[in-house]
Amino acid sequence: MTPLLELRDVHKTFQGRGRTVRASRGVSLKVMPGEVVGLVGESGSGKSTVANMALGLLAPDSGEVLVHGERLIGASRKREKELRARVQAVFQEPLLALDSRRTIGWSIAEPLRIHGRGTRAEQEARVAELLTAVGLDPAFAERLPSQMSGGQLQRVNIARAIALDPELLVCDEPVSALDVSVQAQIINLFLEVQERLGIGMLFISHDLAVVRHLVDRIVVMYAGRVVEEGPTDELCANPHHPYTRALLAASLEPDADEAGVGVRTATTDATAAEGVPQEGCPFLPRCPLAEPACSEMPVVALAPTGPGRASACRRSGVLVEAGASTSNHD
Amino acid sequence: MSDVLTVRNLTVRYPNAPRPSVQGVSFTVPARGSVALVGESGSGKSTTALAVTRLLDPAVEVTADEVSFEGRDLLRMGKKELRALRRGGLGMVFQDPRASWNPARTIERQLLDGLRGAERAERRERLVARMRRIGLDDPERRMRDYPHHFSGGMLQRALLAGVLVHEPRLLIADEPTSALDTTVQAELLALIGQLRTEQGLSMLLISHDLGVVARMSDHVLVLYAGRIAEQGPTSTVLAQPQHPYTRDLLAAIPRLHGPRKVPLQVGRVAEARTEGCPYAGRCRFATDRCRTETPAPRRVGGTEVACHLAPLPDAKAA
Repeated sequence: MTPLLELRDVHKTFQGRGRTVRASRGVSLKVMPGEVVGLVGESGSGKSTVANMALGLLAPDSGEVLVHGERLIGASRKREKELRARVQAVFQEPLLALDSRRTIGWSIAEPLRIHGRGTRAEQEARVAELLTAVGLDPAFAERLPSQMSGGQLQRVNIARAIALDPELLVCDEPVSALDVSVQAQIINLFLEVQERLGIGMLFISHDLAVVRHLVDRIVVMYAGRVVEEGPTDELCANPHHPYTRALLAASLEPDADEAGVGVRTATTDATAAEGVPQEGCPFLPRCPLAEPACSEMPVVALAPTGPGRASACRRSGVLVEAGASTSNHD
Repeated sequence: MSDVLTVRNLTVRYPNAPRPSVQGVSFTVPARGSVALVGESGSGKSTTALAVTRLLDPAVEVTADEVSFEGRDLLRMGKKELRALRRGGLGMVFQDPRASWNPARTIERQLLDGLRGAERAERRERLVARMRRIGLDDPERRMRDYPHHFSGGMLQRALLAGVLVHEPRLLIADEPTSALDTTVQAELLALIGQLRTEQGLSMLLISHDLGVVARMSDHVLVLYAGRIAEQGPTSTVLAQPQHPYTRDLLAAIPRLHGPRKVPLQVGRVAEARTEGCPYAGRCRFATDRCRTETPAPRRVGGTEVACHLAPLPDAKAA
């Protein structure tokens, strides 16, 4: 089966005022039809750069971004338009994604007009159908974005994103700007939409707990590299990379015991990116499991650590074993 | 005199607002205690903090029976006294680490400006010691850097050092870690906890995040639409919430374990009501009485709750 989306060894470097940010350093990932993949990492990890390359909004320096096995950038105009219709996006700020002077209905119908789907009347009917599908009153089509709440606007953005029946949704922090109760509604809406349309999704977030609710598989990025991937439940139960373990430990739940953080304070970093060594393991300065030998070797490549699982760490074995022994106790 | 901060019946109304942003809020922060105000946007939690610290625009109408810091009336305090207090007993930290700093001046200059009295060399020395304490390596050199040389977490640490050098008795922290990555947040929260113990510091914490509140406070006020829905010891409120809103809020939090679907009870979004219980429009238990009569706070179980229907059946099933 051809993946809906495939990134092959993608590199992207940004140059600016004496500073070089290597946002993507050989990222490879796949989203299969109907699959929901979570891309997790902290600010500066390169996750949004990957999202923008997946959407064809940014060209990689090297490597390939394939939609249905075809390159988006460099395809003929006609073909590019066809491919773009299959991949749609939802972003973090619901208001910024919409034209403030146009009605909600106009915005939702915009992709239909661009791709010439249906007559005017058919488009109007489709807008009503889409609004209902995302839990809004079809009468909202007449409203302006300023007359709606953040949660309602994010529903509108989802309606617009599914207007063309895409095969893949790329969602970059779509619930991060929302209040907890609204966030929960939108998470459930994504689950519902996914179930009903069987759509594939690449869901990007800094919040592992949010991603956990939505995705089948999680890819963890750190400093421009994929450091771990695996099926959601297994990865959350037994992380195989020290960074994933730190992320899980740092996640605060109101009823959790005061768990240890497990990250050494990175007090020497000037900025997140500068704190990362240019060569060798990027997580080394913060890693609680680091040994002298870790600093003497080049970056560890992502390697299988179990069924469907992979980690890029010299010491993965310790965590794999720790995980195996805890599950034996259950 | 064991309370550091006392707030009684605080009401705040923005000009032309249909209803007060904060209505009848009362609480105290005991010495060495930590009180959290938790709620979603529009709940009035930040407005409460701004009113207490007198940082609201003068056009905003603030009334209260009492707002006092160590027995001194904050609402009637003169500008000069207030400034001295902000540079002394009352420390404040806000959400956005970048917005708290002037990008064109070095960290050192900005922090030294706030320090009065002693000789420059001595002031600098005190600051360096604090910076080292909050985990800044080589503070002598790093303090000469500009804010853009620092990461968000480091800026927030430096801000904390700059506040704590005044040896405040009360720290008002409005979403101090919400703009930070989770790992950085965990580190900063641990640091704040340590410093509080060391300095005997009281805290008023404002947060939307019940996970942060659980870890950082002993007493919590859950605000909805400007009113206190429920308050009590943090562990009790989180373990046995009596107000439907507290339960809904807890249920809505994304979890690392448990079912995929967020067990969400709030079916629809509704405007906060101006009469009756503000939560009646969203509450799945609401009755006619809830829609007409504003519930007064009363003790139910271990918490004080403003709900006609408390105790709710099956309080653990939230």
